[in-house]
Amino acid sequence: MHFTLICNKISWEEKEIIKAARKRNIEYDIILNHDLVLDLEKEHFDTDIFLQRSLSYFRGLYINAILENQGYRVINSFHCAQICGNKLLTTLELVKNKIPTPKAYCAFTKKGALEALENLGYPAVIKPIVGSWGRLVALLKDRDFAVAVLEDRETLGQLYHKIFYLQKYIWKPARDISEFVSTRDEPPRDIRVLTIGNEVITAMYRYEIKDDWRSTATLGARSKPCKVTPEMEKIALKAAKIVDGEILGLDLMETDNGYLIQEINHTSGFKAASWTTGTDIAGRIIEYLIKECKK
Amino acid sequence: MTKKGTCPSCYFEIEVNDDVILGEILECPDCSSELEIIEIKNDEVVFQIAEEVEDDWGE
Repeated sequence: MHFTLICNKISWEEKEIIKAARKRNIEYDIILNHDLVLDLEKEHFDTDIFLQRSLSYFRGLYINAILENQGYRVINSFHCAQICGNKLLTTLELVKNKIPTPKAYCAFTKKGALEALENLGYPAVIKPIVGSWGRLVALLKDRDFAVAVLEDRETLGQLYHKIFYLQKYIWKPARDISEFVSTRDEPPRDIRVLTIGNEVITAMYRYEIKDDWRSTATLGARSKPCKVTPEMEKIALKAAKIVDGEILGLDLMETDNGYLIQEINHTSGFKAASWTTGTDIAGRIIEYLIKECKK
Repeated sequence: MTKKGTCPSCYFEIEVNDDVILGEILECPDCSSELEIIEIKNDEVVFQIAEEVEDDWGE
């Protein structure tokens, strides 16, 4: 088996994947996407499978499109990347398949966004449709704050920052609705679930960062292992299936009515999950590639 | 065993471990520039200033 790893740079995750491949005597190549030139008619790559781990959404997406058009097998696929890399398209897919997800609106102007926010109620969340690591995700606590953020995005934002994706704020466990402070010893949390193929391989709680309302691992959120329940497994695998996801990181939120799928990540980081849960995620990825190549 | 390369920003000579990987990112110990390894020869590595994080970067 020979696989090709596509990435922007070698981060901790890529190093672990390479280590896991070397340990199993698996041959591999690395393609750094910034220097890549692709013939749109025919490229020759002597490889069985591509593992797409580009940090850059658009580079990864178009590389997948080109490779798949030429018959190569890429994990995750173009279709999966297209849906998961775009929060609006992810919501549409979840809604279409009746998978619980926070209520969301789309608007294209400040006026429209304010109308959507009246429907959602404050606080609400604004997110860029493309992007990650909590970047430009803002908690709109009231109308004045919303106006300020929307005007900033309209004036200073990139093209896709002006497509306003507005989401209902989900009150996390331990969050006091009136004070915006924790009511337990531990901060509010969400859950990151890692899936490979049709299996949930591990999960962790991610706790909100001090003086922040987000629980993004790359921003420094503390994490703890989370026991995977049958309900959690069911919703995660159903969501993975509808986006054709093979290696995913899904963000779940706990509510009184069960879990919600918040986001689905198609090039999920897994350093925090590996360290927190002790799961050999890189090894599991390589084992999955081997299995897929045998098909 | 180590390999050596020069920081393209401050020209500091940097030593790296022998098992470095193409595309690996490290910080210049002298000027703190974020550097990417773009070439690995026998006992030499070539660096370039690493790409800045763009809006569409993430997981």
